Amino acid sequence: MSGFSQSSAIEMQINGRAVAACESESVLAALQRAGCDFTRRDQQGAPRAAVCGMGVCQECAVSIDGEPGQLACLRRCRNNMQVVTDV
Amino acid sequence: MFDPALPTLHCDLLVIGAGPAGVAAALTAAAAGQRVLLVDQQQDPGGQIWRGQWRELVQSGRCSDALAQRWLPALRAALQANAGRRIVFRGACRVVHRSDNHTVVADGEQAAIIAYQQVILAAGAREVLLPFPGWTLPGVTGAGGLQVMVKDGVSVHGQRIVVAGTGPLLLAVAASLQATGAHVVGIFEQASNASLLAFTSQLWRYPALCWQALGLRWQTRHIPWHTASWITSAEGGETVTGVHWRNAQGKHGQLDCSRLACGYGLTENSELLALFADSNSVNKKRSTATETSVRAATADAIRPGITTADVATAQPGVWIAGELLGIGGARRAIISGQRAAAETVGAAAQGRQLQGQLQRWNRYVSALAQQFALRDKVRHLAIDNTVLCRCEAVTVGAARAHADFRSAKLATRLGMGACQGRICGSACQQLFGWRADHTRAPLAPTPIRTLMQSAGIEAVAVSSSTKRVSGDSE
Repeated sequence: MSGFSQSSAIEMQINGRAVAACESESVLAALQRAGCDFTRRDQQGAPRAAVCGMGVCQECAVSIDGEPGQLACLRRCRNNMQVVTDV
Repeated sequence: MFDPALPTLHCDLLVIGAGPAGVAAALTAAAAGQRVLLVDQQQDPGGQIWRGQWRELVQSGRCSDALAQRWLPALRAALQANAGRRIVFRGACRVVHRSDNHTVVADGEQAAIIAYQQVILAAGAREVLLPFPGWTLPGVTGAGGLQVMVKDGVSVHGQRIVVAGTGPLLLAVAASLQATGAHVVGIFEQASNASLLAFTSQLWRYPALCWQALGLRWQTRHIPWHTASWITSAEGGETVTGVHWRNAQGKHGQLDCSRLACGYGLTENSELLALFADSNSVNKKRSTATETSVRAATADAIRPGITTADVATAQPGVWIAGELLGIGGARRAIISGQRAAAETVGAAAQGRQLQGQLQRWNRYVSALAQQFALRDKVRHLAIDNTVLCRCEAVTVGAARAHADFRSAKLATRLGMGACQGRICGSACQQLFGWRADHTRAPLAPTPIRTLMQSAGIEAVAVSSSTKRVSGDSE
């Protein structure tokens, strides 16, 4: 896609691990590139990941900078952002 | 401990939703001299259909989507004008509560109270997602859902993807995934050839759509396109690894894939309608069981019929635009946004002219709804141990034992999770013919901090005193 390569490279932490990202992509994009295929485990322990992509299903909710319930599909990456999955 | 109050933003016209309808409404109203506040839950304007277009505009000076190019640069110019700026855009902003006839509470990166004279609801639509065995596996997404994820940077390069469900969106999704390097291994459209023919035979009335459809079919000509066919289940361990399909003739098979993008059409984001339907609702006691049906009825009263193309509501100063008028696409949404904005300033002649243009889309709206109606087999793919309510992991079998949505909800927590029944509500309607309860304020999970900061407003004080963080957590 156009645009992602042009935007400035940043670094953020996903579950404590430093990953490269860019400011124009979603947190979800950074998560998937970092190999985080799921964002939570359900009541039976089964993995769950983003479904609707539009801020409706809440499956991609993660903790961002200590604030839980943030939707990875809607939030944009920022430098030094701390993302924690499966909280 | 908390700030005593939230900041208050003032405007003549509040436009909720910055997709095609909201953008057109904001620009039209601003041109007529209104001070407009345009809000959206996304960080940039454009809605779902124009997702990523604003970023392109900022980075390269233009939008690749021709329709977006007609509107977003104008919005950008309106936002940038230093003197006499008429439109303010606030992104990452969700309207979660309404306090009286002229104020709402917004949450997001910065919470605020918004004071307005009139409001246009342009909340758009979401995908209908139906349960089937394996639908909770990571890698199974909506069809439009995967498309917007990719627009925001998710990589699908080299991945084997099955696109399934129903509606003209499937071709668009397949084409855009393919354009970003995905290997789309099949498109499964549940509608029959007869339905597709009946739908396309209407398209000559809408030349732009006709060309778009031809273009998409050409771009996807190498992808196997299975009509009257659907995915019966997805399989995998920690992520999806394959799907099983079936068609109307009883043929079936299996396909390996690393993603399944499956969407069964669109449905209106009608939560705001319920919030604005009843001006007195916030002051009422909410304990009676009949209240749900009352609220459902008021939402029906405020929502016009699917083809009436009427942007007015029963509430003075509350207008509707875009997909809330029935699913009809971006071009129709733009006209409805202009029409709603014309009404807010009493431009009767302009309104009548736009009404005529809107009515020309009625045939398209009904063809879309009729020809892509779901077949029974697709509505009933789930088996008893299939999860129905994703948030609360309530199975189809557990829900089926109950008479209606309300009793299933009270007994099993169906629809009471973070999405507040937005996903399982449509699924229950398709599976059991149940009408879901209307989402109560706050309309989205909201920090208790926001509710406390807006506590000068009576209704919110009620919510926070019962420690209610999401509207359905009873």
